[in-house]
Amino acid sequence: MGPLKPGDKRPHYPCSGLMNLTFILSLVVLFWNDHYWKGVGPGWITGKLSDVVILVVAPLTLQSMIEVLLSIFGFSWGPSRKVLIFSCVLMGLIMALINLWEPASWCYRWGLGTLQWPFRAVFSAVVHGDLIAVRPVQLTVDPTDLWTIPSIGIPLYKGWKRTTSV
Amino acid sequence: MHQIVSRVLLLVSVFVLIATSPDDKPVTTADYLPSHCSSDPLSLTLSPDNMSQELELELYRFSEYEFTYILEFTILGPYSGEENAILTLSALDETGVVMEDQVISTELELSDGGDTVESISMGTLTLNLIEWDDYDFLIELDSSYEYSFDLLVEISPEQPHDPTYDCVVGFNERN
Repeated sequence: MGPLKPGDKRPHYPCSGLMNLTFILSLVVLFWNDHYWKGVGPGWITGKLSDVVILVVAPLTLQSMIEVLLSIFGFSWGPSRKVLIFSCVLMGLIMALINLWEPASWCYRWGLGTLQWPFRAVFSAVVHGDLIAVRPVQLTVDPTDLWTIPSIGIPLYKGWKRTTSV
Repeated sequence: MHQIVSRVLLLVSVFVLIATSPDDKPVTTADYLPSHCSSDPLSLTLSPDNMSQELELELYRFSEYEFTYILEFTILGPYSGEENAILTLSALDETGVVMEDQVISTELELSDGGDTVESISMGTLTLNLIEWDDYDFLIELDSSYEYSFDLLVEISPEQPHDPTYDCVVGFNERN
């Protein structure tokens, strides 16, 4: 756990950056939007809503994963502004590249498909008794998604107060 | 306690991010159907030594509900060959046996000058498709010469439906 400064009542521990209402609400909206709202009302609003909340959830999640890994391997993990900025810039960059550059879209489709494969394989093995192959996810490239990138400011703002300039 | 909750939150978040793509999701409601989709052309060579080939259709991010689809198979020309030939394509059931009511065939014709047409439709099959199943086909050549051609499949719902989303299919040789 990182050192507490005098008068600082906020506890600092790896992934404490997730313990805020903005993150939790964004996570709920992301799940609900992708698994329900997009089904009953597919369109521009539900499409862009996903992009906005994913740009809130993903950087804070990446920052927390880095903190947890650093603490597990015995490194100094203290809430770092550099890690926060790195996480936000990386996620913004990914969002931009997959919508503008075909090789990045291809990597995203196959990369996420590979990450999803263990879950799909277990489901298929249990339900159908066979093992399915790795499949790419579907991605509709839409450069107008870049308009959602400013929402990266939300996790940056939330994380800034928690982090130090180290 | 807060640390445990935050770790759980992290796991949930990672799971949601992996199970969720920022754009299109696998469709889980019957109201929302995969629409027209087309495979990439599959290059095939059939000869008297290798008269048939099993093919595999893969459905990516397809509906988890079963619906009836029309599958149109098209040979993209120009194809190569020495004489007119009969090409037959059959759907196989889960045991690998030809489904007698799901067979189409076409004649590959050479023009007087030896040129071939740019593309020729083999016809259509009507099948119930669902995300999790494998679909196999058998293509057979009836000719004493070798033939090379590109084959693609286009899939569209039997009944017009709205709303729909673009789907992706893979069409490969089964080893």
